Parts: sequence; structure tokens; C-alpha cells
Amino acid sequence: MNILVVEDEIQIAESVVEFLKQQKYVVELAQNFTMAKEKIKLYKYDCMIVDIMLPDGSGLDLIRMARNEGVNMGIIVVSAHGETEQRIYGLEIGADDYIAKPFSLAELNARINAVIRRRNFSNSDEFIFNEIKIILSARRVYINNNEIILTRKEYDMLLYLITNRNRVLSKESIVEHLWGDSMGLSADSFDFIYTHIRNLRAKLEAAGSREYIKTVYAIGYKFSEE
Amino acid sequence: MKLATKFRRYFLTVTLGVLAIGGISQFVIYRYTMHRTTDDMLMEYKYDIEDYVRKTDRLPTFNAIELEHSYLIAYNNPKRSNMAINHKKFYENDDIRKKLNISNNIYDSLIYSEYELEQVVYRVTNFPIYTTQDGLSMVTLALPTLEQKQLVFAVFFSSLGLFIAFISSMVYGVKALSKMMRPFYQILDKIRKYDIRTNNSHLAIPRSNIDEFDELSHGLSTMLKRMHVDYISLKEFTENTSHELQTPIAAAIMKIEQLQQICADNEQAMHNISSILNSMYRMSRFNKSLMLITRISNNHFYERESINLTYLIDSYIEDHKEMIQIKDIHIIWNSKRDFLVQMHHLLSDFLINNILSNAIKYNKKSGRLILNFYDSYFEISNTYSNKIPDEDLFKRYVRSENKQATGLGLQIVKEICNQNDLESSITITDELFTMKISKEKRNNTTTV
Repeated sequence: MNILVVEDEIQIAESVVEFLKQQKYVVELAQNFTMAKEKIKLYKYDCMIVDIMLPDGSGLDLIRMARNEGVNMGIIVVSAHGETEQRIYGLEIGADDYIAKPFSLAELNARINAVIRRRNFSNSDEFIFNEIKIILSARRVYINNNEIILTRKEYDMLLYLITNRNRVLSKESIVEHLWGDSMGLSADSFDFIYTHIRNLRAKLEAAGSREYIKTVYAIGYKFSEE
Repeated sequence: MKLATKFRRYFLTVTLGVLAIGGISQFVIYRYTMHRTTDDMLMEYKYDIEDYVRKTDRLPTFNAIELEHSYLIAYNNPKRSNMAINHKKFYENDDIRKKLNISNNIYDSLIYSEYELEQVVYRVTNFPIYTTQDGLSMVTLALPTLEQKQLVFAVFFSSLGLFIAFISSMVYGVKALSKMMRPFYQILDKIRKYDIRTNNSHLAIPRSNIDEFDELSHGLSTMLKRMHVDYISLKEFTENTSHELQTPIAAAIMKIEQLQQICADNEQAMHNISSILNSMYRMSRFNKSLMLITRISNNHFYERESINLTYLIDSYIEDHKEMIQIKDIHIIWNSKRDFLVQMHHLLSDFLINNILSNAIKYNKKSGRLILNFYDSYFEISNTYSNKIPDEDLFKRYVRSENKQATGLGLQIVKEICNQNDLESSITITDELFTMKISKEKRNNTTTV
């Protein structure tokens, strides 16, 4: 998978690139509008992560240009929090998703995965991890081919964990993923996470899955085989 | 008290006092002057008589017409008629007069006047004269003078006249005053309506011809202009700061995330990382709220569409039903109907999110969430667990005991309501925290 990151803030760009490389993506970085434009014309990417505010132009123009030229790639708009209208406009002109700064890398990963899946719908509707099988379009989960019934939040949480497997996910990042800004970081929301995780674990293990969801001291959780 | 009323009251008191003192002194002065005049005339007559007697050694016969209102009474030798003094001696030696016990006093006396047909006041003087033929005689001269009663009337009516003149000048004065004060009230009105957010910092009051008010207006304009500039720069500062903070916060969160992957085995490191991460997320949320508030108050979300808040609430509850279940909160709809508002769709989301997330977040385990929807207002009440601070909850940074909250949620609610002709208010009873949003915008409210 080839990913183009268009981001002028070097600190953020570095982290994103490093992270995506860890996720086994082929990543290229464009730090301004001109560079990004050239790269889009020359190479083929599966996904582009584009910041709206660039020193020499608008990320929105890049999206418009790519879509006008019929480039088939997933596009995720990164916006400063305030630019709500712009990111909605971004979606209107052909972006697949948006993510507001500051965002967590795990969240970005989940978004990229979702976008890529949606783009190549036919050959990746199923996600299989050992005994766990997830039918993405239908939001169904099977353990050893036996369906387990998860609530919506449990499903979202499982997918988030499994997409970011082998990574430590903080409670904060999980709260943001599940409820966005609306819930705030209250002690409650951490309780909810705990309850959801407990229920999810119970359901998975009852159906014969191994214990993949590990608690990481102080921070949160991690989905891993070890 | 109004300046005009105060002025009127003050003026009346002073005028009455002045008139009272004036009346009394007028009375005294008039009486003195009148008496002086009458007394002078009496003396003139006295000297005339004495002069006549000295020259002719005879008592004068008085012309009745000449002394129409005067009395001349002559007594023959009332006292010591046998006193052997000669004519010359009597007039030249004051001691003799003293011995005769004759004073020069002039006094008031009531005498029946045939002319006025009543007792009138006369100024009376007695003096002796001596003629060889008649010996010593006592002469009494009396002249009518101004009556006390008449004098009182005169003084009273002149004072009354003055008083009426004063009152009418005061009425005119008050009218003139209120006319003169008009610029003052204009200035006051402008200040009352002044909104620091609008650019109209100039008071725009037409120049009056009163220097003090012009100066006041000018001074205030300068002050408001400065306030506006300060407000704008503070706002810009907040905006810029929160905007500029986003990138470093984003970068920090990403770096910490990367760090937590590396340090997963080190408990102490993870503990520290967890605190940093938590702080960063809080900072990020705080920043987002701050930006949202500035954007709302900047009227950034001016496009409006018809939004059904009841529908939004339903979807929020549906979306958070697991959370509600876990906390065992009972949702109670006492009265449910569509509540339509004209609002930017993002703002309506923020509004409902903030109200309901607070109502869930601060609710107690197995608490209640009560919704009352009516045509012109709706109320969302919740039971609460922590003590709610008594301070003005709409003020920024007022937080409950929940240290994770930014305290900006209510400020966002208030700001959204302000911008969309809604009224928000809070009531707290022992059991319930109630947020009321109503459509009528009242002018006088205790809360917002």
C-alpha cells in the first residue's frame, strides 16, 4: 500500500511517516502543495493524507485536482479543529474522510484502514485474524465461524483494537474513537471503556477465542497474540 | 433620585426658607422705616409747636384741616402746676425736663379713628410746654401709622408674589435642565446598549452645546475605543494561541503514542507517559472548546436552517445508550414534542452534545434524566452526584469536582444560545440540576 502524506508541520509529518512505516505502508512525504501536486501526477497512491493548510496552497485544491483527473485513491483530510466547514467541503469535493488535529496515530490508522477497505470493496470485505473473522460491510463477527453478537460500541472497539494490533492504545484515544468529542474525558468515560472491554473479552472468550486483549498498566489496552 | 427631582426639592426648601427669613426681615424693616417717617413728622410738629410757643408765649391754635389725622391734646398743668419756672428756663435747661419726668419716648397707641371708624395705630409723643398765661401744659401729639395687620398682609402678599415667581422660574428651570440634560441621557443610553463585540465603539452622539457633556462623550468614546481594541486583541490572542497550540499538541500526542509503544515494559515510564498523555488530551480538549467559543462569538456559524432538537436528542440518547445503560440512568420524557429552532447544524449538535453529555457525566449511578419539552421552551434535568459549586455556572472555568472536565461546556451552551435568540438558564435544587432553554429572549434575567 502506498500512502502520500501531505503535511508541512515537520514534527507531525515525521511522526505520521514513522508510524505508517511501522504499519508496513510505503510512505512518501510532501511538505508543500507544489511537491504534492507533482507526486500525485507522477505516482500512484492508494491513499493520501492531506492537511488543508499548506504554505503554498490549499489541500482542498489538491483533492479537487486529483478527483478531476480521475485519480482513484482514498483521501483523508486533516484539518485544524476550527475548520469544520472546510472539512465538510472537503468531503463534498471527493475526500473519503476527515480527521481533526490533534489526532492519535491509532485513530489515523483506523481511518486509513476504513478508507482503503471502502475503496477496494470487493476483495477486502472480510478481515481475518486467527480464529476471529469480521465481515466489515455487515458488521458481523465470527469466532471459529460461530457468530457472536456484539453491541455497536463493542464492535467499534474490537475493530479499533484489531486494526491497531500490537500497539498500546491509550484509554483517551479509545474514548475519542468511540465517542468523539461529545463525552469528554471524564472518569465515567474510562469506566465505560472498562465495562465495554470486560464485556467484549467475555463474549470473545465464551466463543472460544484466545485472550488477545491485554491490559497495559496505567495506559490502556493492547490487542496482541503474545 | 432624579437630578431634576432633587433640584426641585432643594430649590423649594431653599426658596421657602429664604422667603420666610425675607418676610420677617421685610416686616421688621418696613415697620422701622414707617415708624421712623411718622416719628420724624411728630418731631417736626413738636419743634414747630415749641418754636411757636417760645416766640409768642401762647399756645397755638391748630388748623383742623392741617392736622386731620393727628391729635393735639393740651392739658392744663397736669403736674406741678405751681412749679416756679420761667419760660426761658424751661426751654434751656434739660434738667428741669428731667425733673418733670418727661421722656422723649414715642410709642404706639390704639386710638379710635373717626375716619376709619375703628381703632387704629397711632404713634404718640408727649411733651410739656410752658406759657406765662397757662403755665405748664402737656402736649400729646399723635399721628396714624401703618397698621401691623396691613403690614403683615403687605409682607405676606409680596412674599407670595415672589414665591409664585420663583416657582414658575423653577418649572422653567427644570424644563430647561431636562433639555440640557438630554445629551447626558443619550450618552447613558448608548453606554447601556454598548456591546464590546461590535465595532461601533464611537458613541455617535451629536455635539451638544454643553462643553461638559461633549467632553464626557469624547472621554467615553476614547475609553470604549480602547476597550474595544483591547477586547479585539485579547480575542485575537486567544484565537491565535489556541490555533497555534494545535500543532504542538498534535505533535506531542503522536510522539507520546510512539513512546508508549517503546516503553510498554517499564511500569514507571508508562505511569509517567499516562499522566503526560492525559494532560495533553485535556489541553487539546480545552483548546478545542476555547476555539469553538471564539468562533461562535465571532458569529462564524451564521447560516441557519430549521433543526428539530428533539430529534437530535433522540439520536444522542440512541448513540449513547450503552453508556446510559452502564450508568443505569433512567430517561424520563414527561412531555415530548418537536422543538424547532433556526440554527447552524453544527451548533445544534454542539448544543445538544454539551447539555446531554453533562447530564450523563454528572449524573449519579441509577440517576434520572428528565426531559420536558413544550412549545416555547424545554428543560433537561438530571440528578447529580457531586456538589455543584455555587458560583455562576455559566462563567468560564467553573468546574465541578470532576477534574477531567474543562468547565467550558456551559459556556459553549450559553454562547450558542446567545447567538441564536435563545435563553438559557440553570436551576439547582437539592436533587435536580435543570437546564432550561427557551425561545423568548427576555431582557431581564438573573442568569444569562
